[in-house]
Amino acid sequence: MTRIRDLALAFTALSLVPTAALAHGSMKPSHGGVVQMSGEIMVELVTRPKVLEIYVTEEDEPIPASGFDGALIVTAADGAKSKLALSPAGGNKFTSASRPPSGAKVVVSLTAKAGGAKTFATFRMK
Amino acid sequence: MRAKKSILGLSALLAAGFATLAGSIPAQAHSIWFAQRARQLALIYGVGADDLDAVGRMDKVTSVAGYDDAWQPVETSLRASGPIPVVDSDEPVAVVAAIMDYGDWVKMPDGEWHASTRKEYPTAVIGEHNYKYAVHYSQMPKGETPMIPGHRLQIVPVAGMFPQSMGMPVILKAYFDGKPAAGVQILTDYVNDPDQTPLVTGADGTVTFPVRNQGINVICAILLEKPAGKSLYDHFEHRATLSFVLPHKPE
Repeated sequence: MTRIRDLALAFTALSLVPTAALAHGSMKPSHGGVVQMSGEIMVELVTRPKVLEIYVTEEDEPIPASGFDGALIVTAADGAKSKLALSPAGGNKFTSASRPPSGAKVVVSLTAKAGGAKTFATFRMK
Repeated sequence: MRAKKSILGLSALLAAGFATLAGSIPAQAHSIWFAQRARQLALIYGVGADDLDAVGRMDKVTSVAGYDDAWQPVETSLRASGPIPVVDSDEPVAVVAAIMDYGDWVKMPDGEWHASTRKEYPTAVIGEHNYKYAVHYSQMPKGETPMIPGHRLQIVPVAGMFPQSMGMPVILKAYFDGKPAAGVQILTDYVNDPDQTPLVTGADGTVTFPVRNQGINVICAILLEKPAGKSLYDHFEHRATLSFVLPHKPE
């Protein structure tokens, strides 16, 4: 058991594959927000007073928001889950129906209308 | 590094009514596992590099389950996307699991297999029922690893950890019906080396070996369960895969 424990201590916890390391193109926000990579798709979240804005690009190229069905999965600090609509707002921009509360976990869920492939990006509201 | 074979463990194994064919892999060698395809997580049916028709076998999938980074269930399903079944969920899943009931099989003296039983083929040399399980970790959730409902055979990373580099030892434990299982055959690299001589779990159900790939690792466990009493079956074959990815260096 001691050997097993020692070996275990030598490990580090498995983390998600560091997708940021795989990115081609800029990983810097273009609209003053925060970014997450999902594969080679960059998702930028911008917090506005009443809504969130989401921008999507792939290898520096904007991806038309109209090509996705979007939603925000919001988990509040108390664990309560809710879903917010995410609407295309021209170009590669989406806007949310409202602004999630501070401390909430926000999952941007984008489903490609062609093929149904899912893209997720997870953020934490300040 | 090979797992230590324990005579004591083997005795306990036999007493528990299990039978393993040490050093040999049953001919019905196909398994299911999860792997990334075009950024989506897909269910693969096959052996080694053979990525066979999984969509055509989706009707044999009896359960799909997903869990978030705290082992909380996430509604998860499989969806046919062209020739591959992909995992569909409304949220990211840290762990996804599936069960396939592959049904009855007999092996005839001429070596042919049929999806049937000894009732229809009384001269069969092997009669079995196959169950296939797959568990994939995209992320290690916090907290103790649960026994996933329906996964009678499950491989669990000891201490809830994987190494981050190939060549480092990984410690896994096989559970059957929720209890540590000795004598379970373990293939350490099912995709790239499916014909390897299997390791065998020790008396405490654990096995330790160096992680083979700085990429996807698919570990396959095999256990043959003896039926109680007289049966059409020689055994029930349980095949469980555990898959995880070690990250490559930044580009």
